[in-house]
This record gives sequence, structure tokens and C-alpha cells, in this order.
Amino acid sequence: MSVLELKGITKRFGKFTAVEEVSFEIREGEVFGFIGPNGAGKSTTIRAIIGAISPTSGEVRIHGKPVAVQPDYRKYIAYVPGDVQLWPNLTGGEVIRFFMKMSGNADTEKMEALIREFRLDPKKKCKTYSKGNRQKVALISAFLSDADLLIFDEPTTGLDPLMERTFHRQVLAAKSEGKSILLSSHILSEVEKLADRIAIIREGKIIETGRFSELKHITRVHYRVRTPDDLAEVGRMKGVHEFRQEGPEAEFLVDADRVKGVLGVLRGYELDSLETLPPKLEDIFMRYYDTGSGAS
Amino acid sequence: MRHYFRLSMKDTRFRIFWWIFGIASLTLMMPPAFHGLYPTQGDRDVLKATMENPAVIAMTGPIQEGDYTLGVMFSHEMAVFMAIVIGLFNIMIANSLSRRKEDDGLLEVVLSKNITRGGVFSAQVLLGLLMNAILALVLFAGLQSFGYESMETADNFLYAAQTFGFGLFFYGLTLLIAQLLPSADWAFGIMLAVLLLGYAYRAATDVAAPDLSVISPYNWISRLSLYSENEVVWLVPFFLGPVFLIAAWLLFRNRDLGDSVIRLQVNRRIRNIGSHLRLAFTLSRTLIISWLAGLLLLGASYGSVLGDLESFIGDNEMLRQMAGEGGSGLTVQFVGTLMVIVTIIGLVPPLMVMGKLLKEERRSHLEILGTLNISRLRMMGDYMILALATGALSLFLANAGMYAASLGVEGIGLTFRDYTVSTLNYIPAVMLFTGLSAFLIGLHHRLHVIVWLYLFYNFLVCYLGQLLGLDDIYRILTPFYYLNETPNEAVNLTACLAVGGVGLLLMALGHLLFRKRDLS
Ligand SMILES: Nc1ncnc2c1ncn2[C@@H]1O[C@H](COP(=O)(O)OP(=O)(O)OP(=O)(O)O)[C@@H](O)[C@H]1O
Ligand SMILES: [Mg+2]
Repeated sequence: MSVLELKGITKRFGKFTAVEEVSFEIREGEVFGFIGPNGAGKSTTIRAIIGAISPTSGEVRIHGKPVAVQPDYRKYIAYVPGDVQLWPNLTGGEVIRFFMKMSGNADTEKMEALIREFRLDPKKKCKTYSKGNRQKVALISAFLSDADLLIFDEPTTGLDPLMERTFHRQVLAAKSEGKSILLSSHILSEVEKLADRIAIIREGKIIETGRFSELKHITRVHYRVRTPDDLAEVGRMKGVHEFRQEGPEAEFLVDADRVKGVLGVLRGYELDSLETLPPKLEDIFMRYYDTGSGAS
Repeated sequence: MRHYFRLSMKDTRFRIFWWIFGIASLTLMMPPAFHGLYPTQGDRDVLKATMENPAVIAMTGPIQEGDYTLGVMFSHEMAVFMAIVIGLFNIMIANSLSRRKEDDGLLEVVLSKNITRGGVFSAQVLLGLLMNAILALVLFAGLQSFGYESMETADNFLYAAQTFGFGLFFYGLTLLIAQLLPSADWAFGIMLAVLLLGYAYRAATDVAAPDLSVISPYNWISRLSLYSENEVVWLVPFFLGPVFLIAAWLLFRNRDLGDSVIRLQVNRRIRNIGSHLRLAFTLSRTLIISWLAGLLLLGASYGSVLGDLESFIGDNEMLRQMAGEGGSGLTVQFVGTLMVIVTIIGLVPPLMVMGKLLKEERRSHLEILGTLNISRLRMMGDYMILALATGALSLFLANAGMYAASLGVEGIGLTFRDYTVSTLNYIPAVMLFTGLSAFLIGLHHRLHVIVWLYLFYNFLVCYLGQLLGLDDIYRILTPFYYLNETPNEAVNLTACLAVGGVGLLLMALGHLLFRKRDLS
């Protein structure tokens, strides 16, 4: 059964439609990546899930039941916003303890372990924390909670690379405990590494959902070729992009649905080597973000 | 600096415009109104005679010698009162341009953009000068346009000049305090206290010890003898305003951004915040405690002047009559007026506590608290509990202070029970205002300002009502129309229930609306 299910969520602010007919589901023990350009509607969708705003139409279901019929559904959720603003006069430790109290958790051992792992000084007041340290307070609290759905809205923007890795480790640990994670992020390598499935949102609409491997068909395959021949001919073929050749080395991208034709033509040349570089989420992303032209 | 000035100007001009518009229309409404109500010198002299009592003087300052001309009447009844509003205007704008910008990290960005500290500071100063100058000019032009006999050019000019001086005094002091204290909230809280306690102090000393009153800037206005002697020399103390500005600059020049001269490091021990109510209390504790202390002090200072009423009444035949046997009638009446003032001031902290809820929303904390499975009902409810408790305690402490400080005075004839009853009498007002606040917060996150305007309206109506015997039409919209003036009159239980009931209704509505509303 799905932990979270969105059914046709639409949110309008006055005349402006921020999110339109957004639907997806997150299953148990799954990391779900949520990506899209600035202003696409990621945060709006997430705020509708946590009940900070109510959708104009559509339904949020948690554990198979609409949230409307379970007013306390938020006990299943832990949420970390991108720009964490904390109570300036409370210390980090006080905030973490408060969060634990509120979610009925008393595992101080785990708390101390997490504080150590994230290298946080819990005795300082929040107003003296750097952005990354504020983020850590919220992340630690989320990982400590008993909630089975963790929602992160751009959680790593303030973290250094080391802490980013700690975060990734914790996400995978949570996943192995059977928790589900909704991860909205601009850092594609992160989503690629962690997410089992992703959804891409643009201008308020979901344009792709699926496993990363399933989305490969909409990407372009990246080839690197060594050859004594001039491949300019191939560079002019339909579906070939960003063709470059310097001396014996050529590189180009091929639309996934044209690979067959291009490989057929390549067979006519003398090739020293042919490398296929793995498709990256970034390629998918760019194809949609750029102008929107390649999205057919 | 030109660019930064223009930017700040654009950012604040609407707020400045509304303040100036409000202050100017309120001020300029009055001379024609007074002229309509008291057209002849004879009418005004009768009025003056009834005004020479401590309750009125506590509100407006001492009455000048000589004829109670239209001009004198206008300045006596409006100048000190409007000074509160002008002070508030200057505090809010100065704070928002300086410490608030700094807290929000905007100054940091600006200073990195090839704009010097000198540029930032001169823009702040220039804006203060400009807005006060415009206000003074508008007032001067408006007063000139009436062409009343007793309001000559020189008189009007001095009136406008003291407005400018008083405004700049508070603008400068706010900028200075903004350097001294660690946050915009602190600066605002302290300045508001200075503004209100300055008024309260003047009220007490004007009645009991006129010489001591001179410490309060409000008293300088009284001493200007506007529209009669025009004692220009009392403009001189207002030059403290520029002095504050210079001091502020010296501090600002060398200070780290975000740092302050006074560091308030209270409690180092780790608190265990186990509930949302505890959290709400922790967040508003400083505010609540300092206001409660202030109100206790205010009550005590009022209580301590009650003993001096006797000497004040002195040989005045009419006052003797009003005072009745042993002077207790007059004292009780005076206490009744003070209780209304105390109640209105005591309504400020509960509204500020409710404002904390909005602040929590603005900082996206409610979003996070929501995911901790804290319901909206609980969020608003806890702040409401705090607000109601703060309001009730405010009134109680002010009354208790008044009682304690007047213990040594003979012949007042008010027992502790009378004061307690009076506290209870005005608690429905606390409920009404808290309810209205909750209702507005539930409606939309930007409507809370209305409850502040309503509080100001209450003050205005009580104030003018007391002075002019204003039509009840205006008072009908305030709870003070319905609630009896204790201890002067007996408690009207029906009125208490009705006002409190409306408060409860508004609270319930606020809850319903807040549960459904989108967070900002
Ligand atoms: N309260 C609001 N009122 C009006 N418009 C809003 C409101 N909240 C969001 N929007 C608009 O909705 C759109 C979607 O915003 P949202 O914050 O969901 O984007 P996002 O995908 O999270 O972007 P980012 O990657 O920059 O965080 C934006 O155009 C934004 O301006
Ligand atoms: Mg966002």
C-alpha cells in the first residue's frame, strides 16, 4: 500500500495556478525524488501535503485514507524545509528535545549519536548558528522522529559536502528501516543516487514520473568515439546533438529513439573504440528545463 | 547613498504616507470641531472650569493660565495626546529602517554593495528628517488655512515645530537604542515602554509634583504654552534628538553588524520545553514579564499621587464641591479614570502576545509545528491562553500597585476588594480584544493591524469623551460604553457578560477560520 498518495492536487493563488492536477504516490520504504526548476510548484505541493495550505481541489491520502478523515495524520510525517528558521533564543539542543517531546520520542542515545554524526554544538543559541547548522537541527529532529514519511524540501542547500554525505547515509538508513522519503532537490546527483523513483514537475504540472531506468528512454545517449575518419556526416544526422570532433576523438549525444539508426551508420567507419557514457539525470533534466522544446 | 535613500524611501513611503495622513487628519479635525462645540469665549471658560481637576490634567497636562481661547484649548487637549501617536510613528519607522533591516540581513547585503555605513546611516537620518518635516509642514499649512483669530502664524508655526522636535527626539532615541540592544524586538519594546511610561510619568507628576514632570518630553510641550505665551525656549531640550543621532552614529560606525552594545545573555541552563504552551510562553516570556512589571509600576505611581489630591484641590471652590465630604468623591472619580487608562494600556501586552503567533507563522514555524502533529486549535489556543492570562494579570497588578501605593493615604475609602472588583470588571475587555485579535488572525495574516487601530480608537474616544463629553454614538463601538466605570459605579454584570460573550464568540470564530486558513 502507498504511504502517500496525491490525487489531482490543484492549488490556485487568486488567478495564478501554482500547481495543477499533481498526482503521484510514494510506497513503503521508497525514496521518491521530486525535481523541477525554480517556481515549478515543488514547495507548494509539499505545503499542501503537510497541511500548511489546503489544495483548491484534489486529495491527499496517507496510508490509503484521505487526510480529511484523519485529522492527526501529521503524526506520520516529519518535515524539513529548505530554509530553516529556528527560534533565535532557544539553543539547538532545546529545539531538538522539544521536537522529540512533541513526537513522543525519548531515544536520547540516538539523539546523541546523530548530534555527533552531524557535528552539531547543541548548546548554542539558534541565532548564532550558520545556515547549515540550523539545517542540521531540523534534519536531526526529522531523523529522530517516529514518522514513517520523511519530507525534505531542498534539505542540503546549506550543508558542506561531508555533511551532505552524512545526510545521504541517514536517508538510506531510514529507508532500510522501512520509512518512505519524499526528497525535493536541485542537486541532481543526490536524487540520482538516492531516489528509487522520481517525478519531474514544470510550471505546476508533473511531466514525468517513474523509475530512473524507465526515464532513460527520454534521455540522450552520450557516445565517445576514437576514429581516424571524419564523422561530420554523423554529426549532421537527425537526432544527433552537440557533435564535436577534435582529431581522432569525437563526442556527441543521440536521442534515445534514434540510437539504432546512428549506430547503423557508424558501422560504416573505422572505429578504434566506442564508449557509451551512462545517461545522467541531468540529461533528462536539461531536456525538459531548457526550453521545453524537446519534451515530445 | 542616494540610491539607498531612494530605495528606503520606496520601501517605506506608503507606511509613512498613511501615518502622516492619519496624524494630520486627526489633528486638523479638531479646531473646527472645538469651534463648533464651544463657539464663544464664555462657553470655553465654563469648560475650562470643569477641566481643572486631576483626572483631566493627568490626561492632557496642566492647563495654561489666561484665557482658554480656541488655540489654547486645541493645544491643551491635543498636543500632548498627539505626541504619543507621533512618537509611535517615529519609533516604528526608525526601527524598521535600522534594526529590523539589520536583523533581516538586508543591511549586510547593502553594505557589500559599495554603499558605506555613512551612506546607510545618512539615509536613515535623512528619511527621519524628511518625514517629520513633511508632517510639520502639513500641520502648519492646515492650521494656517483655518484662519481662526486665536491661531496666529507664529502660534501655528510653533505647534508644527514642536511636532517636528518631538518626532525627531523619538526617531533619534530609537536609532540610538537600536545600536544598544540586540534585536529589533528589543528596541521596539524598550522604546514603546519609554513612550508610554513617559506619558504615564507625566500624568502622575503633573498632578502631584509638577516640577518633577520636566523630565518627560511630553511636559516640554506643555511648557511651550502654545497659543498663548509661546515659550520658545522649551524647544531647546528637543535638540537632544540630534544628539541621540550623533551618538547612534558613533556606535553604528564601529559596531559589528548583528552585534549590540548591551548583550542580553539570560539563562544558560538548558530548558526542557515539553509542550507547545511552554514553547509559546518561552517565546513571549520577556515581553510578558517586562509589561507586567511596567504595569505594576504604573499602578503604583498612580496610587502614590492620590495622596496629593487634597493639596491640589486646595481653595478651588468648584472642586471642593465635586470632591464632597473629605474629598473622597473626587478621588474615586479620579481613580475611575485612571482605571480606564490602565485598562487600555493593559490591553497592549495581550495583543502583543497574539502578535507572536503571527510572527511564528511568518517565520514558517507553524508549518513545522504542524508536522509535529500540533493542531491549529492548539497553536492558536495556547497563545490565547497566554494572552488572556497576561491581560488579566496586567489589570490585576496595575490595580494592586495602585492599592498598595495608596495605602498610606487617608480618606480614599477604597478597599482591596474594590480594586479587585474593578479588575474583574474590565477583564471582559481583555476577552473582547483577545477575541477580536484571534478573529482577525483567523481571517487573514495581514489583518491584525485592525485590532491595534481599534485599541487606538478606544483610547481616543475615552480620552475625548472624558474631555468634551463626546456623543455616546462614538463610544457605542467600544466596550467602555457598556462596562461601568468602577469604582465610581457598581459593576454592571449584564454588560460584563455581554462583552465577554462577544469576546468568546470571536475567539471561537477565530479558531474555526484559523483551522481552515492557508499559512502564509
Ligand atoms: N502564497 C502564495 N501566493 C501566491 N503565489 C505563490 C504563493 N506561494 C507560491 N506561489 C507561487 O507558486 C509558484 C510555485 O512556487 P513554489 O514555491 O512551489 O516553487 P518551487 O518549485 O518550490 O521553487 P524553488 O525551486 O524555487 O523552491 C511560484 O510561481 C510562486 O510564486
Ligand atoms: Mg521551493
